[in-house]
Amino acid sequence: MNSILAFTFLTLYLCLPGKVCYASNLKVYATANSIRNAIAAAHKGDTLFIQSGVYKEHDIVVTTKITIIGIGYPVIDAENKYQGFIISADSVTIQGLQIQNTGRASTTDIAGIKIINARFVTIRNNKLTDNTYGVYLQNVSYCYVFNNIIQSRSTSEINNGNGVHAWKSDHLLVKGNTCTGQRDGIYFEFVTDSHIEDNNSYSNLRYGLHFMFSHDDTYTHNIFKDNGAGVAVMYSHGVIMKDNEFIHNWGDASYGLLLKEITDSKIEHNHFLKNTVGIHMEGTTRVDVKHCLFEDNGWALRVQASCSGSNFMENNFIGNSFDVATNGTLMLNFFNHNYWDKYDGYDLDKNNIGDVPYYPVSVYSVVTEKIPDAMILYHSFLTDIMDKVEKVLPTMIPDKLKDDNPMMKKLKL
Amino acid sequence: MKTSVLVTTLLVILSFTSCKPEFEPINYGHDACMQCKMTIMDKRYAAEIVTKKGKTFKFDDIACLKKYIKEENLPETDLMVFIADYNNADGKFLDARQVVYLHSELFKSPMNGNLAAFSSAANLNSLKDSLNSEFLKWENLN
Repeated sequence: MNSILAFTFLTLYLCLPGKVCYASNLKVYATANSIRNAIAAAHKGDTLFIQSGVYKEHDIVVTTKITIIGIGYPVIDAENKYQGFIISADSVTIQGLQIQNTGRASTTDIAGIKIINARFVTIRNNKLTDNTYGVYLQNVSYCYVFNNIIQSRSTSEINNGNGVHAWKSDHLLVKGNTCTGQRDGIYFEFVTDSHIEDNNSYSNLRYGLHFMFSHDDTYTHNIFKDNGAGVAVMYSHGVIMKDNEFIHNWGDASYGLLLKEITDSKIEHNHFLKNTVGIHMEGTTRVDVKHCLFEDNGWALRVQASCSGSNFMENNFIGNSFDVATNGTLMLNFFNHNYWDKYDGYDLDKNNIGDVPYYPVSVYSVVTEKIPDAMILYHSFLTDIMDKVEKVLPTMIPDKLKDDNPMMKKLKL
Repeated sequence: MKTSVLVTTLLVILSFTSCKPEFEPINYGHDACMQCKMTIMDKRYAAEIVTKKGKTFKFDDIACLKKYIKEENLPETDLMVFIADYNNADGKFLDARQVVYLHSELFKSPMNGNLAAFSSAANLNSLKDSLNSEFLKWENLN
């Protein structure tokens, strides 16, 4: 009986005039203000198919839940003066557009696609070319930035913005994007519980990834290459970094990875190749570095005395000019079971673990830490003698900083 | 004769090497902040300390500068402190003790000091009201 009643109500409800509201599909062609008009006319749930062509439109505001799909990459050109899309509704999707040439201003942040105070927004397969900011997320949740190509040819560092810029947001997924030529490739500030995956961030003017006050975020399988200053992760806790590659971030203030005041984080299975400094750590607490490869870096690790409780386990150190540098004598971090190619100890019991400890801080890295200009004498006869003497009679190197179980063979990572 | 020439040359060289404490321009995009190590990019919030001996420390945010003075226990009275003019970021740096500051989250400065410096309080009332801020002086910054 109850089910019949329910069925009748349901039928009545569905048949009520005005309640039935089907989402419709609309095609939009390149005429003056056509996108803007189409959006104004669209209802909740509609899909707009933007046909290929050049649309000289800007500051396109989306305030209803609609899907915008570009066919054959239509070009939205903001004529170097204005903003692109501004989205302030939940569940909007923007896909397959080429948005280019936003204006540049120093006081407001101008973006190709800006999302403000919204949830469940998807930005997928777009090309964002020569914009100040590419995708700009402000105070949003559960948004998805996927497979976009964000590039800028600007050479001015000052008026250039970030590729993906997120501020005060949570539960984001930034995946498969390419960011290049921006100020920072990906920038997170006050962003929590988010994932950054499979992105390729290269040749950005400052950082490939820049991360501040952003807790409990994970980033995996990203490639950061040739960025002005590498990657900076600062003032955060609960950060997980796995399977990333930090390649050729080269310059006097450049780091593969700069960690500043990071707590309870994990760095695993990453590759640091050809960076000025592989990882520079300052004020970190309980950061585990495991199963990483450090190859051909100037300094593999620079661990400042302000770091504590970190474990460096089972990493490979190969072909670095300096394995570890530090600026103090106190060492509250632990090195164990790493492979160091500079280790020249012996293994009499053939258990693959060296019988004498390895001291990864060379005397010359102690000297250059205090007097950077002394680098000019590196590998000279004098410094080689210092190294040899120090090996026999250690006086300058921090003797607490050692690997008691250095591996004889390269670890398989 | 010979010694006097030597002495004069030495004196000349010495006079060149002794540093006069003065402001050193910031190379944006290259110089790193002393405190947070970030590359200084944003001209509007840059700041600099010059010590009595002429040593310079550059910062990307006045908050970093303040923190650095505190952490390193620098003698504040001996320092010259410079700050960029928010309204004329390409222009001359101002004396941080003479300017007025406005505070607002909307500034989004590099390290969240969110303080902008202005040469004078004149013509600032409308901005002040729109930001819902008060005029601050160097002494009130924390």
